[in-house]
Amino acid sequence: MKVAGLALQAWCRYQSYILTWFLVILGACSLPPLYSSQAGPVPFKAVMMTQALTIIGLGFALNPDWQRRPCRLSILVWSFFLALAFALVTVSVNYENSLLIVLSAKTAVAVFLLSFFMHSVTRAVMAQFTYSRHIPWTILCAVIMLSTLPLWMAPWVELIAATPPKLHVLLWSSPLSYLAGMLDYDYLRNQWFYQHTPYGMLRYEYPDNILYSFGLIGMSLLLLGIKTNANLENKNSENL
Amino acid sequence: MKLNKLLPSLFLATIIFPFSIHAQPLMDPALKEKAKSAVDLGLHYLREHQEANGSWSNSVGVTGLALRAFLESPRKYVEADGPFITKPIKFILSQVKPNGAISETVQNTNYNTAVAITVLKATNNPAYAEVINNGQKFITGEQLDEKKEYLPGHQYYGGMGYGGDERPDLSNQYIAVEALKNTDLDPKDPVWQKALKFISRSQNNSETNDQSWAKNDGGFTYMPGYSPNGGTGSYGGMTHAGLIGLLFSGVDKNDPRVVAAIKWVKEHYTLEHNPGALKDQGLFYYYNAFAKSMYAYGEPEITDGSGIVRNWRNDLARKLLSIQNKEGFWVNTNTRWWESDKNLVTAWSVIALDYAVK
Repeated sequence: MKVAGLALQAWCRYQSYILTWFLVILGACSLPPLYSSQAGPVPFKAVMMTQALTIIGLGFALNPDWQRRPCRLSILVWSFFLALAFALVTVSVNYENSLLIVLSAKTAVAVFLLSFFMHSVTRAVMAQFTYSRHIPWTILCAVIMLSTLPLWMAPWVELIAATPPKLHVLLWSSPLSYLAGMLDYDYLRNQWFYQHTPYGMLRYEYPDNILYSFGLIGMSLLLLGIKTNANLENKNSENL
Repeated sequence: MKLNKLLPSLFLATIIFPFSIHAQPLMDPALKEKAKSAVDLGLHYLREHQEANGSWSNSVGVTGLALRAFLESPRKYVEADGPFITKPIKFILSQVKPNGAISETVQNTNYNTAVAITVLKATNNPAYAEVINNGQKFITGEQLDEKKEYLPGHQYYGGMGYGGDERPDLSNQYIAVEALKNTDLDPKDPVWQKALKFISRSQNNSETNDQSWAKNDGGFTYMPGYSPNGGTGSYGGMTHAGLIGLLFSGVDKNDPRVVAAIKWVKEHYTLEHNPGALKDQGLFYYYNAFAKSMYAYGEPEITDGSGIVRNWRNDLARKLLSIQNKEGFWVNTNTRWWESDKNLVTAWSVIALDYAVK
């Protein structure tokens, strides 16, 4: 009875979060059947990568917290639940394969850190400017642009590759490369990239998982440390 | 001449004549000596450019190829010759992963593992048997078949790719097949037949290729339905890779697939460029595959499309000698496919010469 009461209380207080969380899971689960089977089975790492991206993207865009400026704890908890969502979605399908469980766990960490970073950036921007519901969407668009940078830059990548550090700056700036590194998935040599971009004929490395992870943690903590511009406090509270 | 003097001469001639045919050198002796000197110079360059950790270019693949160039050279270097041989072996062994892969990176795991077990086997050191065995298992595990939900009707069935992307191609396939052959994988293992299926589906030979895109020139393309040179056209590097793949997978020289491939090789015989490829792309990869496939095919001479009899050893050695830098290295001005890496290109060239002077 006590448990039921607590559950009801939690539901009433957090129902928007719970519903959004299930929606995110549903979005990730609905991806595999959408893949075309004409080209043959889709590599499971490619599926996991798109599921991770879906969870990060949907989880960020639909975060109920955007109705106000989120607090640090809610960012941390929501990022954790997004990582948990990824782990549940992938492990429930691959629970018999220990290698995939390890990959799922590693990638769940990446989902957590990327989500935590994106939320921290958004919170920091909100802390410096007048509150606007457009801020999360603007951040999301910027992240999408950054993630797909290797794609947009593909026509010039051979020129860039003449200086290997420049090529790595280009690749490592994309969160996709970090996710790919965590998944041990060479997405730049998958069929589409191989046939339509010059990456397959170049030598490149994915970023170091540990360094990149600590980099994300460090930047996120720095961003969370930014205090709200005192002059904006009142304006923001008026807008809420 | 009296009959009693003529008969012994005729008798001697009948004994000596067959031997004189076999004794005909496979390669111009003077050119062979020059080729051996070029090998020495190339190996000297490699030795001078070895990293402190014993590797070349900090890559398992390049290190394996450079080490192979030493081990298979006319001087037949062995581990007892010193750290320049033992240190790269240590580097390779330091990159062994729990799943049997041998690679410093998540990319190219299949290629790197194949090159690594080939060179470890070439050391003839039984201490590496377990690493080689695990490497074999990793490579065969990467093959696209029923365990990865690919059925025999699928165009990629039996194929192997770089590893980590599940996109097979003939280049990685031939390196993997060469490694499995050189490390004595059981000829009855089903891997071979599956590999043959993929190799056959990469050939422009509609008689033996069930893919609708297949033309009939006998050459090979990069993967079923795709060539980096556009369309599905055959080109030199892949045709020699395909030929090696066929021969090493247990196909007879008289098999229609081999006959068709040799027909393409004859019609497009040249060492001036990689025939069928975009300008200078993959040129040294072509020389390397050319040497290995011609050696495996086993004919010292072939007749080209113009009816001229060609000694491939002489032609290859002359070409490589003519483009070797004074410092001993080879390099391609076209940087695609890593051919701006002097260590890699020099290793490929030395291995090609190693086969020519064998």
